Amino acid sequence: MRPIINAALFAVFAFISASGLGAQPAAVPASLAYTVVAGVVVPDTEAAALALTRWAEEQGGYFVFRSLEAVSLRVPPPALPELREQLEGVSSQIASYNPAAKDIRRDLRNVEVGITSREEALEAILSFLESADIRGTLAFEREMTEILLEIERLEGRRRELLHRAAFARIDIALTGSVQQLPVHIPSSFSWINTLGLARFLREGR
Amino acid sequence: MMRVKHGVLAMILLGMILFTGCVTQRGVVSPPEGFAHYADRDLFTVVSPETVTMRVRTEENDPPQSLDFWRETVKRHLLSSGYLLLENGEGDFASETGTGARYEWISPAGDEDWVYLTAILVAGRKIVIVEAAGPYRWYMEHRAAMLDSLSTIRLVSQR
Repeated sequence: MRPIINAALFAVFAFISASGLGAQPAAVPASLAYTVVAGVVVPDTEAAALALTRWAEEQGGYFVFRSLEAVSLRVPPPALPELREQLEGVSSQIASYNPAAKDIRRDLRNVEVGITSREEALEAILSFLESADIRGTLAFEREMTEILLEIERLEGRRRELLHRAAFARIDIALTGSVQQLPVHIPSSFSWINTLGLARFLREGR
Repeated sequence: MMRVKHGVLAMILLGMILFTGCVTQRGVVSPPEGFAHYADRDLFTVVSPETVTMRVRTEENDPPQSLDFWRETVKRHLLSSGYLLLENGEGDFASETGTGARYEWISPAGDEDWVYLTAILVAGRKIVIVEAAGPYRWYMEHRAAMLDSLSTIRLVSQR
């Protein structure tokens, strides 16, 4: 029985190592995770949202969320220099534009160290299984299950970090232009009250 | 004879008073590049082919205050009225008549967003006010020329 259990556990461990979960992904410069948070004033929020999500898809990215008030995009970092131009194209005003980049190398290194140490612990446990009695085997199995779960969690974290480096996160708030002229609020100074776009347009006719 | 002399003198004095009363000062600028001057308007007016319009007028500096006072008053008034300042839409300009302040505002008009310029310059007892407005796209095309023309603000006498 014990050899069967050992073989099963070893098979699980071998699967993790070979499935790519324990292997390095394809070469991606996993150093910076980019984000942009922007706010724009647009004449038509629906058209702007559609245009921005279309642009993201054309760049090899995708949108996570789209509504009349906001869009959340993911695009490869090389597309970021074009973003401002895209926003100028769909809006009448860029109210705010806040880019940021976070170095994720340390986080990534910590995760990888965690995975490596747990894999080593798993190997050590497997080597002990040969000589363990029933009680010991059960204890080792519980330990191995916990370690496997931790490895899975860390692998998930690594995938998340690599994805953040592979796709910049862009969150854009859309504000529709208010379709009425600003309200005239009387000033104490008479000539100040002559200022305003409505009056300027009226007097120009 | 004396009565006639006094009468003539009175007429001359009345004429001078009437004459000087009819001479006013109005603000003008050199038309921005690409703008045409409307000669038949009461206020100095220039217009671009896309109907971006710039007008210059004067008001009394009453109560007499400095540029800093009026600049702050204009800004607060229009901000509280709901206007949004354009990015880099606030600044000063120098002219032969003195230093002035300018603000450029975003405001909706119909289906479009317009830019509305207010520029003021204090010249003694007068305040020269330059206003301009146009749809965002056309305003921005002519923006540099219009801001350049602010440096040519001057008061001219007219009857």
